Amino acid sequence: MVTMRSTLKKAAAGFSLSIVGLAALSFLATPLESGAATKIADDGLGATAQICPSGTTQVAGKVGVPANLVNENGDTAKKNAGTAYSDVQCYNAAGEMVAYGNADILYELPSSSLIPLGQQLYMQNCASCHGVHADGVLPNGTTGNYPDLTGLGPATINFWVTTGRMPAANPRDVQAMRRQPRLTVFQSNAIAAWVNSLQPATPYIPSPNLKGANLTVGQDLFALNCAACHTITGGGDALAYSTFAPSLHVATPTQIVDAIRTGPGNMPRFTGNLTDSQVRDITAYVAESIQKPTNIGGVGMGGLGPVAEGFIGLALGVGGLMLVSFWVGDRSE
Amino acid sequence: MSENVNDHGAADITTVSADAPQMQPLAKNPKGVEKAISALLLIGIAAFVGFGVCYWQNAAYWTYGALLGLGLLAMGAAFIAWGKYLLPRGPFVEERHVLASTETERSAFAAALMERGAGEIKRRKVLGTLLGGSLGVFSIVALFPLVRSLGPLPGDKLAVTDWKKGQRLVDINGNPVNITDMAVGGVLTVYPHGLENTDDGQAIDQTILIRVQNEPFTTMKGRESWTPSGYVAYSKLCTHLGCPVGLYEQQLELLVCPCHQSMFNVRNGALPQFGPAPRPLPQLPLAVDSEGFLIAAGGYNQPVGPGYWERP
Repeated sequence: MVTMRSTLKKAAAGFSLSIVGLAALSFLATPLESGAATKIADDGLGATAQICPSGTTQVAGKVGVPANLVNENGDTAKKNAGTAYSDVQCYNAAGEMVAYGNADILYELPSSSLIPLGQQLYMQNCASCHGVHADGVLPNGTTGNYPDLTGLGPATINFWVTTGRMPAANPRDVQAMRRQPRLTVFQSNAIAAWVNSLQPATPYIPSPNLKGANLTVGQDLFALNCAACHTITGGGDALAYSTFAPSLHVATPTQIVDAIRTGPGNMPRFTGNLTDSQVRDITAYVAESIQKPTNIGGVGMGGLGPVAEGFIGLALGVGGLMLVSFWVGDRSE
Repeated sequence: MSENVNDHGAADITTVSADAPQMQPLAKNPKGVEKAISALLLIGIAAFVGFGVCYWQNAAYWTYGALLGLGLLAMGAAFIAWGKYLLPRGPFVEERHVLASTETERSAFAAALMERGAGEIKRRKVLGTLLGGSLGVFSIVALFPLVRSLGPLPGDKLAVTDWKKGQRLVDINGNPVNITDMAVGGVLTVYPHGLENTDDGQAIDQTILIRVQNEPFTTMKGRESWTPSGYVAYSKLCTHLGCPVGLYEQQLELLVCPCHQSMFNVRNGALPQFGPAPRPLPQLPLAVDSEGFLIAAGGYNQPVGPGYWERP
């Protein structure tokens, strides 16, 4: 005879399985972005306000690849061909461009006083793979195993080292993974200063100013350019041949602009066709909506989409409903 | 009861006494079950009150769903439990008379319908013809809205995009693309000049522009002049099922479609290297105008998007 007790036992057995499933998924319960666009308060700086660091001369006007970034062969910074749109450039007393940009993003070159420290750190941490001249040529003369670092700009070094991808955990990996950085930002700047001194190039290390960003524009541009690989919630996705687009949830604004302007690894390089204002808007969208989402539904489940949510729906929803149907329809005798 | 001919020989109607076994509740311990159901209903009341409070105080949205769900679950469970365990358990049997009509009634009805009813229509020949005519015409014209709602014939819209020779490539904001704009490894989604904000422009003409290197290269025989300064343009519509192919991996030189993971090699004319796409992405021939902006050197030489024609 069916009793409340026997049915409760069945329900308990069934639900305990669902609870185990839910507990297993709890690690995925990181917040889910809502997509609601807001504005960050403007700080009132116009596009050409005095933004150069003190001690430098500010010159207005757009810049292509400046003349002093042409190397001895007459090549322009070959790997970064593409207009660095800026409204101002900042020159030091020796006439070198130490910063450029505008009120939205200021790109700065690390101080040249860091070059000796940078060389020392480079030799300790990087030369075994990238060669003593930072050109990917190993001491025994072999090339092609590790990338040439010259002519890529300080922002490239900044991205790879401050995200912890370099020094590489496993040089044979298809794609280096983000991890706890081995070098501080100061040390990374020093290495960038030294490597850049070998073949000066842009982009410099960006400092995005997120005040006054338009998150709607950021969302539109993110959906058009970034969401294909990184997914609309910024959770990252698998790509071809063991490569993948990483999650955007832990990137700092500087690292985001680094990645957009330098195109690390398999990521495309967005230069002349995204203005600094647009890059700043995309960065603000990632930093605000993607990294600080409002979970309207309560649990974000990692923003991974239908697989995680489907599991919960099937296990708890359909499973639970099945148990209820069994209970309701049980014969009385 | 009476001697009515319509009785159909109904049996005597009996009622069950209150002590009969099928009138007892199912639960062995009705008092205990009653306590459990009271608890469920109290939970339901508390949950509904909680929902009201949360709604009035504009609490987080998930509390609305959680409390309402909990209340309805508790109330539903209480209903079911009451019905299953506390009400008379049954089974109850009700005698019925035979439902079918008698043989004489059936044959009399058939005779009345066929002889008298059909005869009425046959008598009025003119009216019968006109009735048939109106029904016929109506059924024909009722098909007209159906056929027109199928929409216009596509003509050659499936085979041809809006790209024309000499048309500038513009991005989503309408800015044309200069050959000095993009770095090696950059990508951009482009549309024909003037069409970047139209439905057709965005749906059909969307093209992905990639700068693969600094010098021109050849993707396929006959396309030597299609890639000025290392820029190459392919239709963004996947030839499998039409998803926009936006994933470019610059070191692998691969365009990946996010929907079913078709991979196209950009160096040899977007030949599918993996995945379900059956044919390469159509390539847009490029040229440079006098001011250094990229223009189309012609339209696409084949239909874009999924194939709709028979293949041998």
